[in-house]
Amino acid sequence: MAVSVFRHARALELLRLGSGNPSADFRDGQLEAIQAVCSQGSRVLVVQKTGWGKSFVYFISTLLYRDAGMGPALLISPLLSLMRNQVAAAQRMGLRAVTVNSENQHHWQAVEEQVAAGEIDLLLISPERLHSERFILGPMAGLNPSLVVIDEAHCISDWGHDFRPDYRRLGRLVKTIPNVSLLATTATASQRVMDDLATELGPSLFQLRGDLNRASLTLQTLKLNSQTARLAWLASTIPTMEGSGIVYTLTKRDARVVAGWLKECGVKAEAYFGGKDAAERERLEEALIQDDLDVLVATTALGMGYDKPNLAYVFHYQMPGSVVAYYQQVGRAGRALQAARGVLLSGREDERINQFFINNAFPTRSDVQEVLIALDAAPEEGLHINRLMETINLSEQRIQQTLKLLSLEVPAPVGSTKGMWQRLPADLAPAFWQRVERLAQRREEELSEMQTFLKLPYGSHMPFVVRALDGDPSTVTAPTLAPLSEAVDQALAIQAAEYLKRLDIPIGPRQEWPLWGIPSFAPDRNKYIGTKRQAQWGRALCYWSDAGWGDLVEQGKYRDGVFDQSLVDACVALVGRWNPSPRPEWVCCIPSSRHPELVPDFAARLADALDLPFYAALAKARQNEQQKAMQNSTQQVRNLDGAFAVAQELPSGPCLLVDDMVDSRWTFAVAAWQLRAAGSGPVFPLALAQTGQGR
Amino acid sequence: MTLAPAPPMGPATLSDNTQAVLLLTSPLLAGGDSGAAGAKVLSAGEYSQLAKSLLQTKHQPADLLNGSKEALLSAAPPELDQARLNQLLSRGFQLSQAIEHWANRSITVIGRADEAYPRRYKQRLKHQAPPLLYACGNPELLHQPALAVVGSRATTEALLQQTEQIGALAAAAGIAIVSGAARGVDEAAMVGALQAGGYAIGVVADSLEKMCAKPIWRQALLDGRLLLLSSDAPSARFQVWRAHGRNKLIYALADAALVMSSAKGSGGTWEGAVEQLTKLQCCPLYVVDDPRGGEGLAALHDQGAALWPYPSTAERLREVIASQPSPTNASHETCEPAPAMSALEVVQESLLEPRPSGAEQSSAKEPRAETTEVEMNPVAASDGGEPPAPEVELEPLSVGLSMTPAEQLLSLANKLLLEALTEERTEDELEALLGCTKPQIKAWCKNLVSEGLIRKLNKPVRYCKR
Repeated sequence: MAVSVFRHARALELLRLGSGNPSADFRDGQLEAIQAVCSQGSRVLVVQKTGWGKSFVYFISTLLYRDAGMGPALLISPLLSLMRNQVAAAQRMGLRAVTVNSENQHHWQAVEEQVAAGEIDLLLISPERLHSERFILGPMAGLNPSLVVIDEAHCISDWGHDFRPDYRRLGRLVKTIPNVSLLATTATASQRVMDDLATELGPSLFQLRGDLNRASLTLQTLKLNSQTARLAWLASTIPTMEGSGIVYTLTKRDARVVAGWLKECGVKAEAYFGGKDAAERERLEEALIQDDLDVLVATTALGMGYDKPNLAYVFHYQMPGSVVAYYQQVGRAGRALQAARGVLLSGREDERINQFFINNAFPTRSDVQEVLIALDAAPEEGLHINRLMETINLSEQRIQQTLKLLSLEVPAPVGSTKGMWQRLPADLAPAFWQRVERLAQRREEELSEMQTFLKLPYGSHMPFVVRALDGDPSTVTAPTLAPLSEAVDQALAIQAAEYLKRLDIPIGPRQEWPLWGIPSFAPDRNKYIGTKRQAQWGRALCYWSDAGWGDLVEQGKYRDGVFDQSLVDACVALVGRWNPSPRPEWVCCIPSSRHPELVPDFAARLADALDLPFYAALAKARQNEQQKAMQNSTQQVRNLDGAFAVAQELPSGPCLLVDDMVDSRWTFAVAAWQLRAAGSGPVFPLALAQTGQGR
Repeated sequence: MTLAPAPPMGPATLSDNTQAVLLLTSPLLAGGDSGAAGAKVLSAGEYSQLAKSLLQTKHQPADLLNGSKEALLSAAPPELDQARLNQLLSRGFQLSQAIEHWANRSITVIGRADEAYPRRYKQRLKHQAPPLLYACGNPELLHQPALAVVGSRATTEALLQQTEQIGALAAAAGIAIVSGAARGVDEAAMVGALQAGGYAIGVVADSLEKMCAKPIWRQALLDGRLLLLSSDAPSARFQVWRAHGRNKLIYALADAALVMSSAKGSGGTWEGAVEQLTKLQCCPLYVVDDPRGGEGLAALHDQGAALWPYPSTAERLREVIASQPSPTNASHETCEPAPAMSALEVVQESLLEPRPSGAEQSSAKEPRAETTEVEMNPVAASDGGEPPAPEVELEPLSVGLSMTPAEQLLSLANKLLLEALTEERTEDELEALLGCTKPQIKAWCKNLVSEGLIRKLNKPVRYCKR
């Protein structure tokens, strides 16, 4: 039968080395899991809560394989790196682990050399990277692992709660990996997901599943429709908590807004989201672990694998889309505490945001059609995404997403080689759409389950979660803490409303034209916008349709046809706080043929209030499409090419350039370019509202 | 459970044996022929050696994927380094990546034991039949009547047009065009057939993966009217030697072959055609009677290629394909048209393959159709080291019967005569060579003449291989 590399004494020795505890012993199930993994060619599924010690299972197994003179381990995980405590444990055991991810490209060559020299015990790679040409065709393909670990394995199943396109490929890979042991791990898997995985991983699957209850957690839900009420609640509650915690938001912009507010209230808070660079995120994670921060306000980017055993609470500013997502997020609290809290706040915008996520999770039939038609007509060598953006009026992100999903099909109707996309000789199977519909429907169900959860009385939340995950609700004990007060401090709420009215959202200048984007402005295909032609940093007064000024802006634009005087006053105040330098000496605005009076009227009143002259320096030179209908940079810039005419004579001083909405920033970029070219001083954009999702 | 039906060409369809053969012989997704950490993949000969040793202990390649691996490797031929075999077999994850990547690109792998593997390769190429084929498109085309059309890349426009017309005529006749999918004659013939709604097979020398993505083939691949085929891993790049090796894979799929243009004395087309005329003789070979096709055509005619009779209708083309040409225009002997197994091959297969008949068919634990060919095929297994046996085309004996001593003697005599008759020889010379009576020599030669395998020349009486 299959050969095993398992050796009990050595395994225990490694555990004690790794944990730094000479009398440590295996936790429930760990030893059995290691034993199973150490049998060559085995298939093992481990479902255990984060913190149970899954990494010890694959670290120790990896080393036992190494002891037996066999190949290294490959760990496929969406996490970018091992957590710090894991790295430390690995080092104590003498395990050589390296990571390959999008943020350490400068190390790849060194890693490739190490792989070739057989100097690596564990290679950590993301599913996306695994699919990349460089990994498949380059030297790293010669890793030839004897053990493959798939983290977050629930993503292989369509019934898993989060959808990661690259796991589709993994699900097919695991069916044919001869002579290699396979360990699939996840923290949460419903029975349906377990069944799916058993089908994929084969009949001889060894399964280990821990219980789901988090006995230390007291859960509570609270419906507070307005943002101001929730901000006030957070500001009065957080200072009363012992220890630090996390506040989850659904969007980046909410993370910024909430963190900004808490700081203003004297809480040591920072925002954490995917757009921040890796070093900054690492710094923030560490700051929370060290309790240098009271709270990290984060999107789901602060996710899987983040482990702070004494995290005192997880609050939600908005409602996540599914019970499992909620369980995973709230489950970060109180891992090593007697008692910890999870409070879910829910507002009126939750439904809209969650629906947006559902609606945008997959391309539509017409998106797919457009992409396929464009590639059908492509030359033999294929098309670059930039070229596709010229012909397809879809956002870059949407085009990328569509290409990606199509290219993961088997057989795939499209594929890329060195960044050039080609049509391949396969039609898109109807099953693709069945699957898309099924996944979308599943998300709707999850959302409605979450709405049920929201209405539960105190004490019934944990049993509901455990039941929803097919766990045993009888293991759940009553909450150990009394519920927190639901009261909202009215004075704080008023203060929060004022805060929301002075968000002063920074608007960065565009620095590069899109490739092949703007024929008349970027001759010689010079895509950089010279600093003398760029706009300066600008400001937006508020987020479109948000609390604060959002409602008033919407009302002015779509109901009254004129912007309220209080918006003029608010902008004057904004300019005062902003204090742009060099100080603007005149005001102009973006012309519109659809609302010829709206913005000029507002800009003129603002100029008046600022005691500056107003010049209608820009005019519409041709009728173009509505800018908001343009979905990607290439289309947006093309639509603006030649749209504006500049007046003959301009004041030479700095200028405040006013518009009602800002989204892609191309209108400001093009207008500023033209104004500067015509002799204006620095151009400072000012918009009433930032639209778009801003996520 | 998912609603989606299993993908038509998913990884799951590969048999364990094909997986094992891939691990041993395919560079998988890596370029070149290096497998793992410098371990070279097995050559066809080395693989045959290994297969033979497995066969001796009644094992098959699939057994290298389970617990018996260690024991089997220690019993492997000493020429094959165990560490190297181990390294190759440790490429399990690479294999899964490769299978997934190819399936994603609509490329399947066909092992010698698979149903889809062209029988003609096994019959005609024997030990040279590739252990694995990589294919994109409709594999059923492999069993169609086919006309091979070959020629050089640089060919005059007029000749290319003629080539396209021949392709179109083949389409009308329901005959598939087999070619190399290279620019020039290859492409013209295939495109001619495909545009006329017909079928084509392209045996590519360039990267199969790249070829499959070319716009000119896309619609025909989608319609199931084209098959692109290669014996090299799909990411392999074009190499001259590979192009040469591929020529016989074109001829071996065809009922007849037509050379549209060729240089004389060198080049892939020339060498492939000469190899056919002098050695492999997979199928009748024609050349067009057209000086624009280069000096090679006349030279090939001198070496025995027949002149293309320029059939004008689909019906005539079908007759050409179904008949055996004579090298001179005067002679009209009709010969055995179908690809035939050599008597020797039949003997060997019959000795070693399990009988598919009656009660003797011992019901093994699992019916594993694939076990017989790839692994137990003695033709492949006998490859190592020995000089390749001359390829002899004879009447197929009924499969499943072992030969009588008389038949075995005849088969051996035929083999030796054909070897000897690559040059013209008189009856006296043959008598001296084989040390038997002249009437016996006459009888054997008469038989071979009637088979169309040798020619009889007069004054003095001489024989020569076709």
